[in-house]
Amino acid sequence: MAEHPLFTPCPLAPAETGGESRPLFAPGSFCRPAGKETVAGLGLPHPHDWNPADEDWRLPENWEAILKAAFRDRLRKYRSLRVFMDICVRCGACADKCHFFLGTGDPGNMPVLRAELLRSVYRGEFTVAGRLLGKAAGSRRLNAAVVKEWFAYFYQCTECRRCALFCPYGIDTAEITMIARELLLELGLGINWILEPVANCARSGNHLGLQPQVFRESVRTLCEDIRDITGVNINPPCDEKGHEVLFVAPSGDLYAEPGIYTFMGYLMLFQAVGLDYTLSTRASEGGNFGLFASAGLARKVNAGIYAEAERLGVRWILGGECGHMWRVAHQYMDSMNGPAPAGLETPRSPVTGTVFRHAASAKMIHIAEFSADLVHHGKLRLDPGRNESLIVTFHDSCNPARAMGLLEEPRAVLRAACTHFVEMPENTIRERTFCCGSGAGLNSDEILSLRLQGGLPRGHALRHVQRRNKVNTLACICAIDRVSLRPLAKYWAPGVRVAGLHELLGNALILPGEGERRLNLRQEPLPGAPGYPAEPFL
Amino acid sequence: MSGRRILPSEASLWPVFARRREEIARRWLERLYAAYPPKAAAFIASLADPFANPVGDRARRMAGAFVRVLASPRPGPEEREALAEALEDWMRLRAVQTPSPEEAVEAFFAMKAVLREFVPSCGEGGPAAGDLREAETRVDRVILEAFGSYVRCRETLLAIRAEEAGRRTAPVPPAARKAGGGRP
Repeated sequence: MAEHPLFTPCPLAPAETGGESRPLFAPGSFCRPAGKETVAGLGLPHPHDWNPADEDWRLPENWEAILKAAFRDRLRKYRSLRVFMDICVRCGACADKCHFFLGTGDPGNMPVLRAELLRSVYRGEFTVAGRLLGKAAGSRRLNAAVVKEWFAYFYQCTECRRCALFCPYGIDTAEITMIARELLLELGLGINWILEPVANCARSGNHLGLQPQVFRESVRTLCEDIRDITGVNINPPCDEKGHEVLFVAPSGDLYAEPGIYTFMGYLMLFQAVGLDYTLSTRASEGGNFGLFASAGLARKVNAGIYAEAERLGVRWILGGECGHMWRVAHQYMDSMNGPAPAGLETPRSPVTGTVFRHAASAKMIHIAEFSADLVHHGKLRLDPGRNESLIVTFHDSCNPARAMGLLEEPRAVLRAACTHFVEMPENTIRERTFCCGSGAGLNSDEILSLRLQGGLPRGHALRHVQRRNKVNTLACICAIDRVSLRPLAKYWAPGVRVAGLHELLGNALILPGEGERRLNLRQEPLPGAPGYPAEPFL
Repeated sequence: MSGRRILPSEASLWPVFARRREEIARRWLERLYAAYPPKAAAFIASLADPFANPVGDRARRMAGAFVRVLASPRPGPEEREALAEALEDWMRLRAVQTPSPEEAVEAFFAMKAVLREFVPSCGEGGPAAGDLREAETRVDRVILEAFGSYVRCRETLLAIRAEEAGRRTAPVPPAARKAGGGRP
C-alpha cells in the first residue's frame, strides 16, 4: 500500500504541485459568472460585474475580513465542518475516486487536494498550530490567489459524494464544496448557470421561469399527446384544493426532450392507478439550484413546496424524477423548512396501503418508490414487449443513489417495464456510480469539454455495455441527467439515447380504456406496428 | 537501447518485434503518459481496473493494438480492427483533454524512436532495414489516422455544442412543439 503513488503526502494546493495542474482560467475551463443584476436581485452581498479571466476580480476592499468572518461563522454553525477541517489524515483514499480527476488528469481535482484548498486556510487563519508553524503545519493565509483557486476547483466539483463513500473518516467533501461556494458568494462571486435559475425560482416558482399559464399549457399539450397515443383523455388537476397528494416535478420535465416524455409517463401512471393528486403552478419546481449556491438559497427555493402543500390541504407530497431534489428532500428539507405543516401525514400509497415510514418526517417520497411499490404488489398492467427494441442500462444518479439509497426501486420498475435490462460494470453503478459530470450547477455549455472529461468514467462504462451487450438506451431518474447524459452519450457512446424511468414505464403501461397502441411516447412506431424500422430509432 | 546486437543481414525484424512486443508497448506508454502531470501519470500507469482508471485502460489498449500491428509481418483484419477501435477511443479522449492537435498526436511520433531502441544494428540494406522502413511507414499511417480521428472528434464536439446551444436558445416546450416548433 505504501508504494502506491497516491499514498505519498499530498501537496496543499494545486499551486504547490510544482506546476502539475492546468492553468486556472484557460478558455472553456470556467463557467460564466453571475452578473451584477442577478446577484443584486437575490439580495446577495457585493453584486458586481467581473470576469474570471481578468487579473482583477474587483473584490470589495475589506474582502479578507469578510471572508474570515464568514468562514468563522460557518465553523461555529456547522460542527461537521470543523470535524471535516480537522480530521483528514491525507491518506489518499479519495484521491482517485473523483470523475473530474479521472477524466482531466489534473491532480488539483483529487478530492483531498480540493478540500485542502479550504483546510489549509482554516489552519492558517483559525488554528494556533497553523499560525505558529505556518507551512510546516500545512497552513496558508488568505490571499487573492487562494480565492481564485477556490473558484476554479470548487466549481469543478459536482458534489456527487463519490469520494465521501471511500473516506475512512466519512468526510463529506461535497459539504466542503458547498461551504466554499457559500464563502465565495459573500464576495459576490457566483456563476450564472446557478444563480439565474435561483432568481427565476424567486420570481416565477421554477428554474426555467415558466409562468403559470405556460406551465398549464405545457401540461395540457402533453395530455393531448397522450390522447393521440393512447386514446385516453387525461385532465390533471392543477392548483386544486382538497386532493390527497401534491405532485412536484423538476421543471425541466416540462421543457424539452426527453424530459417531457417522462412527464407524460407520470400522468399516465396516475391515471392508471386513479391517484387523487394535484399539480401546482406555485410549487412548479422540484429541483433546487439554491443547493449549489448556499444553504440560505436552498432553503428559499425549497420553501414553496411545504407552503403549497399546506395551502392546498394535501396529505402528502410525491416528487418526480429528480436527483438533487432528493438530497434536499431526504436530508435537509424537514430541518431547513420544517417541521412539515401539521396537516401532512406520513405518505401512504392509496393503492397498496404501503406506508413509507422513512418519510415520516419529510412527508415526501420519490416517484420511483411509489412505482416500485405498485410493481411489487402487481397493481400495474404492463406490456414490456412495447419496449422490446430497447436494450436498457441504468445510470444511478448520484443523489438518489448515495444520498437516499434509491437503488433497487428503479431497477424493479425497469425489469417490469422492459424486456432487456443490462447492468454496467459493478464499480460504476449503485453507491459507486459515476457522476454525469454536469451536476451541482455545472451543466453549462461554456464548459462542455470539461463536462465531457468529467463524464468520461460514466461514458467509458456505457461504451463498454454498448459494445458488449448492444445497449441502446440509458435510463435515469434525474432531470439534470436527462439533459446532460444526452451530449455525454453522443460523445462517448454514440447511438445510445437517454430516457427517464417513467417514459419507459409509460410505454409499457396499459391504461384502462386505451385503444390499440401503435406508438411509444416519442410517437415512434412500437415493435410490430406499421412503420417500425429495421434499425429502430438510432 | 536494451539488448541491441548485430543482426545477420538476411534476418527479419518481425520476430524481434513480436518477441519484445510487451516491452515496446511499455516503453511507448511511458511516452504517452508523459503528457500528464507526474502525479496523475503515476496513477494512470498503476491501476489495472479498466473502469476505475478509464484513461489507463484506453492507453493500454491503444499501446497493445498499436504494437501488435507493428510487430506483425502482415497484420490481419482482426489486428487492424482492434487498432482502429483503440485509436478511436484514445483520440476521443485526447480531443476533449487537449485543444491542441499537436499535443494530442505527439506521442505517436515517439514510437519510431522506441522501435529503434529495440532494433539490432541492421545496416542500410537487407531485409531487416526493409522491415524497419515498413514498420515506420505503418507508424506514419497510424499518425495520419490519429490526426483524422482527432479532427472528427473535435467536429463531433462542435456539433454537440451547436445542438446544445440551439436547445438553450430555442427551447421546445410542448406547447411550442405542438404549434409547429422544431424538434430540439
